Amino acid sequence: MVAKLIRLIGAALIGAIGVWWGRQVAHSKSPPPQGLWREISEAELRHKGDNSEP
Amino acid sequence: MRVLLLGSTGVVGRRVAAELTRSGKVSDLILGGRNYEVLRRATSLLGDKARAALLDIEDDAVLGSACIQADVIVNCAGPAHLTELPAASAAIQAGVAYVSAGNDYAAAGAVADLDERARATGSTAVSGCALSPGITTLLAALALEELDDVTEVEISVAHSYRDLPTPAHTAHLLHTLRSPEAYISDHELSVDRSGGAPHLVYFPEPVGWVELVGCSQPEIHNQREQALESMNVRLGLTEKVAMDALRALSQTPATSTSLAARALGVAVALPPRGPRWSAARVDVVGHRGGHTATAAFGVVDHLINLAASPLTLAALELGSGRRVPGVVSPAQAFDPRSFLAALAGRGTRVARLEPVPV
Repeated sequence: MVAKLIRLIGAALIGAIGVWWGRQVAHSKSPPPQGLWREISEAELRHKGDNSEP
Repeated sequence: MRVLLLGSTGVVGRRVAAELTRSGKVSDLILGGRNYEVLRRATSLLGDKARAALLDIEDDAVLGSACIQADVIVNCAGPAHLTELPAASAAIQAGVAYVSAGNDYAAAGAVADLDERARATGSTAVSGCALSPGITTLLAALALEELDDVTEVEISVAHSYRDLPTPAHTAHLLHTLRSPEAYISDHELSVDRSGGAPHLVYFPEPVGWVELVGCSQPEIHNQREQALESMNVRLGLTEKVAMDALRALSQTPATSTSLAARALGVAVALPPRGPRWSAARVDVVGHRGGHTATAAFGVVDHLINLAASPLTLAALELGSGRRVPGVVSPAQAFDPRSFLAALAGRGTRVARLEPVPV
C-alpha cells in the first residue's frame, strides 16, 4: 500500500516537472522584434514636437 | 528646503537620501525610520545635512510632529499597501508636499479621496512617482501630446527581481498578484479575479520580450479623466522561472514574504532568465487628424534607478514651490518633457517604438 502511494506521488511529481519543463521549452523561443526602439535624447525630449521623426 | 525621508534605511531610501544630500537645494534631510542604530550609521555617512528621526509610520502623533518640521515628505517605505495611506494622511494634515513610491491600487484610491482635504491644507500629494505609476504616467502624457483624443492605454512593466530582491519588493509583488485585477473595458472600470492569460510584451532592449499578467495599479486612477474605452496594466518579471514561481506562490494564501523571497532567490538562478534590467512600456491608441493613431514609449534602466531618480526629481521640484494643491498625478504635478529629459540626463534610456520590421 505504502509502496503504491510512493509510486503514485513520484509519478505525480515527475508529471508536474514534465509539464513545467515542457512549458519552458514551448516558450523558450521569443518572437522576432516587434519594431525598433529608437532612443529619445535629452535634447529631443526638451524640444516640444513630434517624437516620431528621428 | 527641508525634506523628511520615510523608509530611509531601505535600498531605494538610501539611494534617494544620497541624491538629496548632493543637491544644493536641500538644506536639511531628516531620515525617518524604526531602527535608531541603522539611522545613526546612515546619517554619519551623509554628512551635516542629515539627521535621524526615530519614528513609526503607524504612530500618527510622532509622524505628524515629524511632518511639520519639513517642506517635503518623501515616502520610500514599503510595501505600499501598508505605508501609503498613513504617510500621505499625515503629510496632508500637516499641509506639506508629499511624494511616494506608492504603487498599490487600493491605497492610492484612498489617498485620492483626501484631495479635498489636501486643497484645504495647501498640500500637494503625488501618490506614486517611481516607475509605475510615475514614469509610465509621464510617458502616457508624452504620447497624448501627439493625439487629438485617446481611446486605449496599455501599461506594461517588467521588473528584474535580481535588481531589487528586497522584502518590500517581494511583499509588493505577492500582494499585487493576489489582488483582483483592475482594468477598463467598454468604458467601464472592472475589478475582478478574471486571471487572464499571460501576455507577451516587447520592451526596449536589452529586456526584449517578457511574459506579463494583468494586475491592479494606481495608474488607472491617474488616467480617470481620459474617458478611455479600455485600459490594462500588466506586470511581470524578466526572470521567467521566478515569474512562474511568483504566480504559483501568489495562489497559495499561506505563503509568507520570507518564504516567497527564499523561493524566488532560487528561481531567479534557473534558466531561462532575462537580463538584469527593468523596463516599462506605454502604448496609447487614439485619433489624429481623423485617423486612428498609436504611440508607444518605453524606458529601461536598473530598477533602483527607475524608482529613486523620479522620487528625487519630484522631491526637488515640489520643494521649489511650483505646485498645485491637491492629490495629483505625476503628469499634473510636473511637466512630462522636462521630467523625462532630466531622467534621460541621469542615464535612464527613454525610447520610442518605431513600427518598422527589423
